[in-house]
Amino acid sequence: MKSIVKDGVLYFEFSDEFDNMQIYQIKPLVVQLIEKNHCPIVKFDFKEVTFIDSTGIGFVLARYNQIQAYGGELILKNVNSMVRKVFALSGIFSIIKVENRERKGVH
Amino acid sequence: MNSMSIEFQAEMFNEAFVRTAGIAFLMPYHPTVDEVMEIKTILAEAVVNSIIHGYPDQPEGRIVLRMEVSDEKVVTIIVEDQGKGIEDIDLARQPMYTTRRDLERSGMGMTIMETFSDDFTIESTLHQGTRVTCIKKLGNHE
Repeated sequence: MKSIVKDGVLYFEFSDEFDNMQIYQIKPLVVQLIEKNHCPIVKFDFKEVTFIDSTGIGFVLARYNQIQAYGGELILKNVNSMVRKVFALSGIFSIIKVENRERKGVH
Repeated sequence: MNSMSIEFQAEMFNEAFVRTAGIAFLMPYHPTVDEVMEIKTILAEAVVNSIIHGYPDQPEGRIVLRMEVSDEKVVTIIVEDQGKGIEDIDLARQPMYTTRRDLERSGMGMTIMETFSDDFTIESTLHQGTRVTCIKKLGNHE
C-alpha cells in the first residue's frame, strides 16, 4: 500500500490481493493516516488490486463512516470490473463516489 | 469425475493458501478469467466465514474444503467446519447482516457466494458445525 497527501487530498493506492489478511495488516495505518490528516478528500485507488472479497466491502464502508464523521469525502478510483462486480452487490456505489479517469500528477 | 480435499487449521493466513489451491485444482478445466475470479471469491468467503464465525478465537479448529468436477465440468465446492454453527440461517443470508460489525465485516459474504454460484446451500447445526455447498458450471463460454 502506498499513501500520499497532496493538495488537501489523502491518496491510498492498494495493490495485489486485497483480502482479509492484507486488510488486517494495513488497516491500523490507514485508520491512523485518515485521523491524523483529516483531509477533506480521501481517495482509494484500486488500480493494482487483483483480488477482493466482502472483507474489502466492510473495510471501505468503515473508512467511509470514519471520513464522514469529520465531514470529509471518500472517492474510489480505478475500480476495475472485478472490484466493481463485488462492490456492486453491496450497493456501495449509491453512497460512495467513483472516479475512473486517470489524472496526471496524482501519484 | 475428479475430486480433492484439503483439511486445514482455522488460521486466517490459510485462507489465501486454500483459495489458491482450490483454483489450481480447476486449472486443467480451463476456467475463464471471470470464473476464476468468482470461484476464488466463493472460496475466500466460505473459508473466512468458518474462521471468523465458526471458530472465533479457536485457531486450532479444523476446516475441510472438498471439490469435485464432473465430466460435464460442473464444479461442487464444499466447505465444512465443526464450529459454532449458525443460529438463524435465513437471517445470516440477508445482505448486510453480520454478527461481527466490530470486525468491520460487511455481511455480504453469503450474498456474494449465492450470486457467484449456480446453486448455493447452507446446512448448520448449533455447536456442531456448518457446511456450505456451492455448485458452479464451467465452460458456458465454449
